[in-house]
Amino acid sequence: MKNIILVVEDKKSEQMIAKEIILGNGNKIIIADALDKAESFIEQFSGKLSGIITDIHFPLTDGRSADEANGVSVVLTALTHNIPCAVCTDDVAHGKQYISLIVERLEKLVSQNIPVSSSKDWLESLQQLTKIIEVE
Amino acid sequence: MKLLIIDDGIFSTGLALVLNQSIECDIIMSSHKDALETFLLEEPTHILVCESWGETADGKTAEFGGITFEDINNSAGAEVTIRRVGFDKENDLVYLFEIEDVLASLQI
Repeated sequence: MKNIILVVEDKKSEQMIAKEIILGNGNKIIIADALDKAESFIEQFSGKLSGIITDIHFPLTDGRSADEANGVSVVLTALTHNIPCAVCTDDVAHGKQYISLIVERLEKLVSQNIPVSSSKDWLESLQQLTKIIEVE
Repeated sequence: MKLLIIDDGIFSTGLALVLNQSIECDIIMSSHKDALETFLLEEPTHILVCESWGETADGKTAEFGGITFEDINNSAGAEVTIRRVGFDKENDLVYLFEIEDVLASLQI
């Protein structure tokens, strides 16, 4: 049975890359471009989602700015629903590595592996997420 | 060929009957709300997204067809044929009353 992966990413170009990699590796994909849509999908597909790969900076709702680190909310929601989650972001582009630090602290708090790709590498994120899914 | 027709009204039932007489295929139907889930589980090869206006949970009138199309298009690979159909010939819609156009749009 194919894994269903939710990707949370607001940039169309990155969505296309993620889609090609995720479908190309034999999975199914759902894409959300804002936090409200991501949370709606998590509620709707709870129990059917195999895992989540989320960006960090994207809008709260469609059409807003992407200044907030809403990906942290997605990680927390994933943990609440016991869904494996990976972060795919670009720390260099954002000029800081605070996301990795937050996720590391969360990992320790919940004793759950939350892999972070800081170089926006969707394949790396998928491979790491798949390992967690297979173990579970 | 496995055809998914997405619609919130009775119209899709009629459309399914007509299409069933025109082409040989398995036809499944879904509401807009359940469309993405149905797509993921049933893995159709062809999809017709019927344009639909309705009321959202907060009481506003919203167009569901475009959102459904976008969500499914995001999830579907290139091997899946997806077409929007409706009552308007503009905005890349296939005119619903021209059944031959609907069939042609599915490349049948």
